[in-house]
Amino acid sequence: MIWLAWRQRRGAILATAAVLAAAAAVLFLTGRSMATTFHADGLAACIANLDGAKFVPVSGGCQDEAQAFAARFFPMRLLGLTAFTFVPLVIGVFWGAPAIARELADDTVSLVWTQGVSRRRWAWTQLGCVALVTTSSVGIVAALATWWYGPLNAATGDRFQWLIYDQQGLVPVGYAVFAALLAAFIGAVTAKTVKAMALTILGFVLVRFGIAVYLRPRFMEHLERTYPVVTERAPNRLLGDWLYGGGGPGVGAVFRANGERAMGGQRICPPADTACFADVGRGAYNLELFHPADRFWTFQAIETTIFLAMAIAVAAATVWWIRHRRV
Amino acid sequence: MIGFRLDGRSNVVPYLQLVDQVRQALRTGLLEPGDQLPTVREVAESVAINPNTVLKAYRQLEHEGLVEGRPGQGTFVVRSLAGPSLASHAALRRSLHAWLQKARDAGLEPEDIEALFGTTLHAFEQEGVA
Amino acid sequence: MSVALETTGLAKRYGRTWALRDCTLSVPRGRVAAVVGPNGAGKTTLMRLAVGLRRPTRGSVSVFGQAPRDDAESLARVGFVAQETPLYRDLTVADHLEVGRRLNGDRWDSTSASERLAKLSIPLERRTGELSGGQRAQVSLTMALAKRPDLLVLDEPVASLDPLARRTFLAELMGEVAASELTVLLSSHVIADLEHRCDYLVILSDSRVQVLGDVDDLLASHAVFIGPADGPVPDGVSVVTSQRTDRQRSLTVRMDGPMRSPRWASHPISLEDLVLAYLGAPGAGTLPGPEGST
Repeated sequence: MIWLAWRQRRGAILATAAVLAAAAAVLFLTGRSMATTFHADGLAACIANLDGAKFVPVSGGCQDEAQAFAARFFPMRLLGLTAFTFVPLVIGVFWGAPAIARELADDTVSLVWTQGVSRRRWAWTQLGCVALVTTSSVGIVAALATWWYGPLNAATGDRFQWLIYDQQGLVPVGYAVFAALLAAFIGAVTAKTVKAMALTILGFVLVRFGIAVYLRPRFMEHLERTYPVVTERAPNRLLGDWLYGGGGPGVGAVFRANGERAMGGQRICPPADTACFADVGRGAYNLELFHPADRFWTFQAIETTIFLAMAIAVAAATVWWIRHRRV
Repeated sequence: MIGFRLDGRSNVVPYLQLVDQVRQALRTGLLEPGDQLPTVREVAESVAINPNTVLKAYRQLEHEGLVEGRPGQGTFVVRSLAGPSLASHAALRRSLHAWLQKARDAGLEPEDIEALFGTTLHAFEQEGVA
Repeated sequence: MSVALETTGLAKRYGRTWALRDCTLSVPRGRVAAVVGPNGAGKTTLMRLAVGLRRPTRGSVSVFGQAPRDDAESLARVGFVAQETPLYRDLTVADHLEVGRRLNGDRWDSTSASERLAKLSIPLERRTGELSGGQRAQVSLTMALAKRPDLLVLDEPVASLDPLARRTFLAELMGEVAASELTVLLSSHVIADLEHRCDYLVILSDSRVQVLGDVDDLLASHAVFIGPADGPVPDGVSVVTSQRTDRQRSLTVRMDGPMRSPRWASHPISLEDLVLAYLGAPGAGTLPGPEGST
């Protein structure tokens, strides 16, 4: 049965490998160019000098060099954002939607289910195969993306941000496997590949949105950070913390010395610039809720596990459907 | 090896058609004692009929003592239907051949010969009844 | 187990429509059983129920005494070819044989499968999507036969074949039945194909079993009676259909015993005419009585 599952996909696997090879070449060339510049422009050295400091001078924490780097490669970032975002869904649906739908539509199941393999074994093998090719293809892309984003992450501190976080590390594989098995399930129920693709895209977007916006911030308890408005040092944004909130909409908030909330956002004022802190007072402070950068991989692991668990549940539902309802 | 054919439009049931064809072959000497009949499978496949029909036919022939089924080997002819008349068949065939030659020389076509034979045979039979 | 296929009150409903109702039949082992009937009469449903591709709404079906189960042992005994002879279009013929070999283990007869295809000149390296309808049907049949089933179920196997391909297919099938103790259940629209090949008959009409029995018994107990246009019908017959001109009537009847009637000439009936008669007379039916006689 495993042989059959692979043989059915042989053409698609070869085509995917070719596309991946081409994509890898592009990623390698562009990534290497960014990495070279990252080092040549001295940004790498500058950041290394910061040595992971949580607070850096307001101007002198490599901000200018970083901004210049980010601006220079802005088109690249845009490209990456658009391309990498869709990879898990597209690849997942590509492998998953036709897996069962096509066999039901072509009625090849009348052949294979009367040839000595039980529906249960057939279904688990097909789904396992889908999961495996999805993991492999998206895994390669995710690994490349993680490497590719290295310099950009360092220069922007955006690694933990929505969409950027979603494109690197482990989560793309989790998303893709979930998308693939969801597509397989819908395909098993509707027996129509295109319908399965459409409904999967819809369902996937809803689930992804829900988890990213409502669940992800709550994976762990936030940390709180306060620091004065009047200061010569500010949090090192290049570390890549995920700023979440500050007791109100928007990232962070400014409080007066008496604890009254003055406004949302952040205010940094050089000590000499009295006009800057006139409205909030010298004792004002900034409050931020955040997840520190070093939680990135933990969050990635948690989210990937959630999606894999959902994927397995959907797979089990698919097998149940095929065995009991597809009669 | 004898080949069978089935006349779908005949009133005779298939298995009896097969039996008749074997008997005919025995009569004309096409099959002789010791000859092997085609296997049930071969007949079923070549004529495209149910093998049970062939089995039925072979059983009937066995019942009549004409053939014998040997397990693991096949079905073999054990008795001839030719009989003493076989010798006179040869003589009849020769005189028939001579007559046909005469008919041809007289300018008769094969259809004319068949028609002449048919009507004469019919009249002959009628005489026999009367 | 002397009964190959047995159903009791078998019924199947799709949504609100009953595809099969009240189906009780029993096909003895070693028979070539034909299932005939108009489109939508339930032939495909019956066959799919028999091989476990559908589950009954009511009643039961058993193959060699067991309900079709979703496990290898149960699946091994039955071979099935669906009406559209579905195959994996992108896979070659050789790939299909490999699939059969891997899925069926010891029961798969690789040698006879390749020999069969070679005899039919079917190229092993060609994708099945590129084969003709007749070749696909032969590949499908080969797949079903090579697993050495005890029951072979064929749904309209020759529907899309040209006359020569049909003849070849049916001849091969008869050969296979002769070679092993195979029971065959096949459906067909072309009754003439079934003549002299089937020895058991099931006529389905309007989702129910209309006629059931041994072909020899059915042909022996039915006849065509030709007689005067007016006047009484002979005693001791059940009339299935009746056709009349102004001068004479032609009745297709079932005889309840040996009989003779001076005013009626009786002729034996062909299987095709028997089936057509019953299909044209939905109210009539011939089912085995309690003793199993028609």
